[in-house]
Amino acid sequence: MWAASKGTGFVGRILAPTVSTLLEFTGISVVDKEAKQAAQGSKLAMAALVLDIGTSAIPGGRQGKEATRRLIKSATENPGAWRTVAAFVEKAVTRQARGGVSIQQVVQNEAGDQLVRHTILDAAGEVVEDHYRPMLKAPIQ
Amino acid sequence: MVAWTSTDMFILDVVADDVENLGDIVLRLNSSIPSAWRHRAGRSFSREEVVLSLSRLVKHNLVQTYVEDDKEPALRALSSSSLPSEAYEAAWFGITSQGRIVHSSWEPDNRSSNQD
Repeated sequence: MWAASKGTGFVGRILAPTVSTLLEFTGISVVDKEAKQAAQGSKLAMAALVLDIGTSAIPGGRQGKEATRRLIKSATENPGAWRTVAAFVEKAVTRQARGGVSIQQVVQNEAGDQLVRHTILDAAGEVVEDHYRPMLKAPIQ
Repeated sequence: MVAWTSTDMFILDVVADDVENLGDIVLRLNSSIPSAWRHRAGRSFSREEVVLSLSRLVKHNLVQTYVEDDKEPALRALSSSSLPSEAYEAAWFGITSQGRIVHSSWEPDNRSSNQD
């Protein structure tokens, strides 16, 4: 799996395995290393993988902007009602968290609504960011 | 060639890993954690200056604007260089491939980044 990939330094030796173990203990279905390799490290391809998972969402019945806000409020205030159905762990790109990791989890509620939880940990393990956002729609070709 | 300000680059850095909304960008710039850009800059960042910088970044296609879809709880990308038509608070922002090139070649100044 991604988080367990080889590496040196804090991320490779300590942080990534720790995150990986945490994800396993929480029952998260982590996209495997092969998927990352298929994406060849491309951010766009990785985003497409997230998007691909998103398109399998069960229709939740609620639509539009108000629904988006309600869902984010629900996930923020009641995270226990959401389970992680996929996760991506990769090296953080942001200079602010140099040496840290970026974790994207696709979370889903009982109705099948999905959001992305994005967390960044810096090299010291400090949480730089932790927020929910809606899934990205595929661009119209 | 555009001369990017340190605020422009800090914002580009905040959106480098994922799509963010205005509130989250301002919060992260002004966060209390040691690595927050406000410590590097020696000052906090106002919503107004963040909006100005974001607009510049979007106009030059370093940042992409996303809006919440009308029909489903999802984000829809606006066309390149398009600013939000509604309030900035309702929009989300992510780095573009061009933005990624600029960001990857940027090294923050450790002494002082307050060059605006």
